[in-house]
Amino acid sequence: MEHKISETTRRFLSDESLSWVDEGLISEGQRNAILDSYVVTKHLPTVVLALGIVMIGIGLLSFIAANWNALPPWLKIAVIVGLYCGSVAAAYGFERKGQRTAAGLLLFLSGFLLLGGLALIAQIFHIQGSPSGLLGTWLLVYAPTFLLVRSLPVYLLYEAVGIAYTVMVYTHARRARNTYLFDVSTLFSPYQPLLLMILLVGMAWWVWHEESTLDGRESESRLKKIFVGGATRRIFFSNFVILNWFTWICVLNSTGRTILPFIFGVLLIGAAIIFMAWRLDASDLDLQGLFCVGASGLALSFPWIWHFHSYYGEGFVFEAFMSSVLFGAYLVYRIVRRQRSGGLAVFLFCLLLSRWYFDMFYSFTSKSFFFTLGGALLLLIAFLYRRWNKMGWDKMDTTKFVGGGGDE
Amino acid sequence: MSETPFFGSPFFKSIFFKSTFFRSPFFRSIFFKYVAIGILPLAVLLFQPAVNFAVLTFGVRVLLETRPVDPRDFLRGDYVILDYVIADIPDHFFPKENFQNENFQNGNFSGENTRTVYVTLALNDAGIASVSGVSFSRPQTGIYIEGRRSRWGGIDYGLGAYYVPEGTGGDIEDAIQDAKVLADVRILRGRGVIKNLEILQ
Repeated sequence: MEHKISETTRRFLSDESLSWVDEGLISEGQRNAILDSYVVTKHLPTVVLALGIVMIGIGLLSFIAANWNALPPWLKIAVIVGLYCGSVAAAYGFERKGQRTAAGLLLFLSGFLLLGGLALIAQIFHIQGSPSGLLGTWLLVYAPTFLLVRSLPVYLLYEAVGIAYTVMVYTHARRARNTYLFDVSTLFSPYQPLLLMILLVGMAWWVWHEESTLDGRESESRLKKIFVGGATRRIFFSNFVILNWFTWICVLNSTGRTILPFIFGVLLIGAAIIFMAWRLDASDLDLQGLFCVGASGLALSFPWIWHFHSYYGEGFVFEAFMSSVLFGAYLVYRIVRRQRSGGLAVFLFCLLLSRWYFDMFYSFTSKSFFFTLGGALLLLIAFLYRRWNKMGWDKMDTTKFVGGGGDE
Repeated sequence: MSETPFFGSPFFKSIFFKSTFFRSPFFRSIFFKYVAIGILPLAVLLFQPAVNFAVLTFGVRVLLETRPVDPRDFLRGDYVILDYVIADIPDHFFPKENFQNENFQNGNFSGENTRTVYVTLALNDAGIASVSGVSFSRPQTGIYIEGRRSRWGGIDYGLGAYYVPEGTGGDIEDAIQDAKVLADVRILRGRGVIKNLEILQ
């Protein structure tokens, strides 16, 4: 009988069984038999998939938008309602088949379609409205999706729009009252208490009901894992504090010239965290370090970052391109060597490709073709990555970390 | 949950734990979940157009005279910002008891139900509207439009934006610099919707 386990558990089992063979507890053949009885459940990199689906959605919308003015209003409404209902119905179909990830991604897409639909309806009827009003309406009508569906993209989208809405309402109130102090009255605007309640309830729901499968079994809640976790959790949060403090210092002293040193600072901190993760064999820290390195690597791929520091005259593109090559090579190295945080590495690599794809082709192709092709390429990468992961586990590096960490 | 006075009460338990509906397979089904997800967005996506279609179909046609606004602010994105002559209403139109109220004059609306106003309109031979009266309650007869007093003075009718096709904003801006612009508005039970802009050279 085959048992389904996560990639991390499979890696752990591979390490452990190797030591059992060394200790003479089991033979090599028995080890292989044990390993063969477990099947790794691989999911497509969700964020890459979400990015691909959103790009295809934008491509579809761009195609409609190109012919938008020629459509009569009733047909415009029908297109908006049809797209929304279609995405929700497709999500329903996937969930009935037990494919929750795909259902969650389609509901994530339906959130975008709903937001775009509300804005377009305002446009069709020349309804004067504020962006915060639009977001507030969206937050209210999308709340059932947020509360009833356990999907990370949906959750992140709702939180991001919720934060954007709160900032907009606060900024508007601050400007209206010409004050730079926190204005408590903004909390009592019509939607605000309800929205805060929905956000908090949703967050609590997510935190307490999310079951960690990191160890292949139901373990304690995410909140408990974060706040009463082991030493690496505390290091994780102290890293956050360091990054926060560093960012604050840089923001206080920000000029055009300080941005490049700031990005290199984050890059170095990220590299230090990855080194620490390697020494401590801590996957959480590795993820955190890769996130820092990824953010700074992506930032360095933009020519304007190099504006004040170019050593080749006006050739900012040269530095940006070389940074992209080095950063891309590092990510490919991590992916090919099957190091940890593979999903994040693939996501960052897709972001890097997308960034250059936008720069090189956006102005020269029709928007609908551009987005549809981009989305299809991202989906292709996601599927290829899945196949790559399925290929022979014997090729996987079984040391704890590539570079010799496992020997210690 | 059951230890708290309300959630532990027999009333709550009878509703949420013993009710046959909440324990039914239908309530726990995926279908019900997706109905719950989709019903509110769908209602909003259909209600808003339905109301506006009703106003455009059954509403009274009124032409509202617009005024030029600051050219730097005239176009924001792909919509024209419109300011209306009927937005500034002379003081004598307001009921005295409200207008003499200090809070009302200072734009402090808390505790005063004077923010929403109903402006009764009179049409001339060309169909262009002018203000003939103001009240704080919905008029029973005549053509009237609902608006809100803004904190900066004037009445906001929610008709301040006119969306134009992408890339045509500049042409419209040039055309209306020295021209008289009339907004073709349909009004039904105080709600106004712009149907078109008429530019008179």
